[in-house]
Order: sequence, then C-alpha cells, then structure tokens
Amino acid sequence: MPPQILRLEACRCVLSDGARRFTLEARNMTVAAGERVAIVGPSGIGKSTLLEMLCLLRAPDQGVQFEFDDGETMLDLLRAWQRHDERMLNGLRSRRLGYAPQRGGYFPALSVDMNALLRGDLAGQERSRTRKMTDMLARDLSLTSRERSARPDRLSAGERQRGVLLQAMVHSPALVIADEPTAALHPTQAEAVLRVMAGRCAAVGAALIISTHDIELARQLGFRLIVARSTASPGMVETTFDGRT
Amino acid sequence: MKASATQAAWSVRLAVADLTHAPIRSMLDCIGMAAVLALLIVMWGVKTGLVEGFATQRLETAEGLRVYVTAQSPISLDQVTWLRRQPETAFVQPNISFSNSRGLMQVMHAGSVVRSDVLLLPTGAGDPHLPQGIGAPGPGEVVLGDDTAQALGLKQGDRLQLLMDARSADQSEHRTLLVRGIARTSRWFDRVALLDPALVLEIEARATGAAPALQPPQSYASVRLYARSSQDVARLVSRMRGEGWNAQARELLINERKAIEALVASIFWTIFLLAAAALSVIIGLGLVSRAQSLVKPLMAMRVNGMTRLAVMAVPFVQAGLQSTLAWLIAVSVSYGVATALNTLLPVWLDIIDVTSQPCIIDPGVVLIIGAGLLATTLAATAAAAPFFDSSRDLKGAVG
Repeated sequence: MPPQILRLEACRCVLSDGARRFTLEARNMTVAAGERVAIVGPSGIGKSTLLEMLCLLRAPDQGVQFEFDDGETMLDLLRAWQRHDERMLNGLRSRRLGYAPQRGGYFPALSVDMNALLRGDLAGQERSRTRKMTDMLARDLSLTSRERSARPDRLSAGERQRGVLLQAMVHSPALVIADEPTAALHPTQAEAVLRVMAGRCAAVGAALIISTHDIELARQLGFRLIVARSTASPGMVETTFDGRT
Repeated sequence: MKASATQAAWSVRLAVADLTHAPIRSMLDCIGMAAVLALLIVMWGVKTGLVEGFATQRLETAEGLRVYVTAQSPISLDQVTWLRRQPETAFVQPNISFSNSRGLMQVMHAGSVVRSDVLLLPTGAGDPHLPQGIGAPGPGEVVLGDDTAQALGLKQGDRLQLLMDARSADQSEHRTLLVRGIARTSRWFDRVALLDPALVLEIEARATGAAPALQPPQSYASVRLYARSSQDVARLVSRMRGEGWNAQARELLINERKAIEALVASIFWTIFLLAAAALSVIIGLGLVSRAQSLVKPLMAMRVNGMTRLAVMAVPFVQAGLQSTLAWLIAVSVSYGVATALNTLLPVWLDIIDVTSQPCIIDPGVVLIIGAGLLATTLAATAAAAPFFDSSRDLKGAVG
C-alpha cells in the first residue's frame, strides 16, 4: 500500500458573487504516492477552486481534516492555516508541490529555462540536477531550444503551457497538480504531454492530480476520476467532489 | 541560511530582470526622476554660486565692507582704539588730514622718466585693500593700485621713486621704494599707492611745511574703517550710531544683496516644491505601473515557494536600483550644466572682476539629494507595499 500524500475530509470553500453563494466541498479525498487522479466536471463548477485548495493557495473555510505528507509525517494543514504558519505552508509549496495553473504561473521577464532554474532553486534542488531535469523534460515535452530561451509572453499558448508543466515537474515534487494541462494543446499533442506527465510522476513516485474535460483520455491513461456533483437552489450552488465516486 | 541567500539572490535577479524586460518604461521612469533631480542640483548650485559666492564676492569687496565716518571734531586716539576693539571691525586706519594726500611717483624707462600723480593711502596689517598673501608695506616699500602700476609700467619687485615734497620734480628729494605687490583698487580709487603710515605722515608734514612729528598724533581728522563681512557692516554701523558716531555704509549694496538673496531663495523654494510635487507624481505613476505589471508574477512566485519577504524585496530592490540610476544620470547632467554655466555665464554677463563661479555644485548636497531620493522611493514603495503583498491573495496568481 503506497503512502498517502494528501488527505481531505469535508473541507469547504464558500464563495459569493453578490447574487449567489457557491459552496464547494471535498469529501473522502485521499491521494497516494504514485496515484493519478483526474477531476472532471463541466466548466465553472469549481474544479480550479478545488485545485487551488489542494495546492495550498486557498484556505478552506471549514474542514474536518486536511493533511499533507511532508516526507516524514502527515502535517495538519487546517491548523497551519489557522495559525498562519507560512513557514510550513511555504515549505510544502516549494518542495513538495508542483503546480501548473491554466494561466500564469511564471515570471514573464525570465525565459522558460530561467523560470525552471528559479523553481529548482526555490525547492533547494542542486542546479546541476535542475539543468539535467530541464533538458530531459524539455525533450519529452518537445520544447525546442528557441522556445526554452524565449520569455513566456513570446510563446504560443501551447508552448507556454508546456513550459509551465516543465516548471511544475522540474524539482520532482511529491504531488503535481495541473489545471487543464492539455486545454491549449492539439489532441495528439495533448495525449503525448499527458503521457509524459504520468510517466515522469510514476518515475519519481509522485502523485498527479489534473482537472480535465477529456475523460476518455484520462481513463485510458489510468487516472482515477473524481466527478463533480452540483445542486442548485435559488441563490445558492453547492458542488461536491467525493473521492469515493 | 542557504535557502535565504538563494531567495535574496532571486529577489535581486527578478527585480533586474523585470526592469530590463521593459527597458523603455524603466528608462523613462529613471529619466523622469533624473530630470527633476538635475534641476534641483543645478538650482542649488546656482543658489550657492550666484548668491553665496558670486554676489558675496561682488559685495564683500574692500569698499563694500567700508564704513564711512563723518566727524564734526577731531577723532581721538581713544576713539580709534574703541573702533579697533569692536568685534565687527576688520581694519581701522586713522588719517591726520581730511582728504587723502597725493604724491608724485616716477620711474625711468629706456632713458625717459614716466611720472604719475597718485593718491597716498596709509595702510597696515589687515587692510582689505592689500592683496591676499601680501603683508603691509614697510618704510621702504609700496603696494601699488593696478592702474598705477599699469601707468608706471611696474610689476611686483620693481622699484620706483617717490617725490617727498611739493617742489618741482627735478629739485625734490625723492625716496626709492620697492613694489611689494599690486592691489586691485581701480574699481574704487583712481591711481592709488598704499604706504607705511609714518611715510604718509612725513609727506603730509612736508606738504604743510611742518616739521615731522616725533610722536604719533593724538587726534585725527578722519579714519578709514572696514567691517569683517557684509553682515558685520550693518551691525557696526548700528553700534557706532548708538555711540553717537555719524557712520554710514553702502547700504544700497547690502540691501541689493538681501534682495537678491530673497529673490533667489523664493525662486529656489518655488521650483523645489514644484520639483518635489513632480517627483512624487513620477514615483507614484511608476509604482502604479510597476504594481500592475508585477503583482501577478510575484504571486506566482509565492505559489512556487518564494517567501513573502523575498517577494516583497523585489519592488524595493527595483526602487533602489531605479533611484540610484536616476541619481547617477542627474549628477552627470548637473555637472555638465554647471560647467556650461560657469563657462558661458561670465562671458554673457561680461563679468571680469568676480572669480567665484555662478554654479557651484557641492558634492555633499549631491549626496544628500541622492539619499533623499532613495529614501523617498523606498518610503513610497513601503506605502504601496499592500499592493505588492501577494501573500494576502495567492489564489489571484492563477486567475
């Protein structure tokens, strides 16, 4: 039985746009080392918000359990959020997590390679290893030397997306989270990129969580699906992500 | 420790990368600040040079410092002593005659005699008319006014003859004197010679047919009195008037100086306030522009594990770099403008008797202005810190 990386129980986020109140709840969610999980559901249902909570960008408003493996023990993140323990949260973000958002996630004044170097440095990884990993991932993700030396704002959406994925994996984190990583890619390229991600995570025993609309591809690559379920009532939308579904 | 050093190094690197990422915007920010700073430095230089140097030098000449004393009765030796003891007094020279004595000086040039009728002024140590570094002339010496020296074709170290009485030049007894120095007196006197007081007394005695006095006189007809500075002139005149003296100074000159000082000070402070306002606007616009472009990437860095401190250091490092660069540009421009002003202004204004430069840039002031700019930009960045503080809303990094 591989060790668990992430454990959430009844963690809720409450959002409001003034007219409506959105409630998002993650139930029975456990992710083990090496596991592949795909969050699926229609657009606007809250997949990105869930991923933001999972990669420690958004504190849950309520929760029963939110634990994260730091390599030795499972840390109580509900307590860390309550105590504003930035040191603990920052340590996990820099070393244990790799996050590829749909947009942004890089420093626009630095090239793809420099962004990767920065990511490796922040994780405390030796530069020689970062360079080696960058070369390997760039080759697997089909990033040319021109694309690697260009600043992200000079690249196409697909090239930029692959650059951000490289950056999310360059420091071999225990958990890689990617928000619709193949959305900007051609279908054939999307499959190749997803295979690279899955293969890379498997090689280092990392868990991989993605949000996607391509359920078939996710199934084909062995992802466990967590499907969003939503109920709406006047002035309120409630979404549940249940890990046992 | 290593992690902190790494984060600090990346703060600097990100700050520089962001500046060079948009070089035109960064340079415009710097040039805007530098233009205002250069204006301030040059203004300060002109204030220092034109008012405190140039105007002072024009006014603090020997005659600008002179206090004119009109006495209804002879001035006693005690009164001269009282004048000499006043803290504002630089030099007092009593004279036994109301009007200054005149004498004839001659010199041989290529077999022919050149003569000049000159004003004989008794002098002594501290006389502001004596050139700097040249002491008072002894019994066998003379300091010539520049126009006298020119008329006689003499320079320092030459010798001349002074005719000692009123008889015709050929019959008069004469005394040979060494030219100890040349004084720039032509602005105030027409052909003057500064001499040892005993020699002037002897000439005056001969002129009146009296026997030379064996003792110094106990009373005098007039005094030549000078204050230490232009500020001291007004104080000395006031003090003397309080003691019943009829004393006057070139108040017009003093008032002129005060008026110039007040005018330049008001112009300077007006421009200073306008420049400070312009600088605030430039710094504010720069910060807004930077916040708009930098906040999201900085949030992304927080998501990637950069500490809040390291992220917040980025705008501060940028503020420091930009203000330092702006200051260097401003200093270069200021020294260039100062050099041009110092070269061209005296020519344009046809100034030949003032050696002070119209624009004097004090390195201390330049450093203070640079430090002021640095402090202002850092303080403004600190005030704008909440806009850069990405730890408050990390989820915005992915929006």
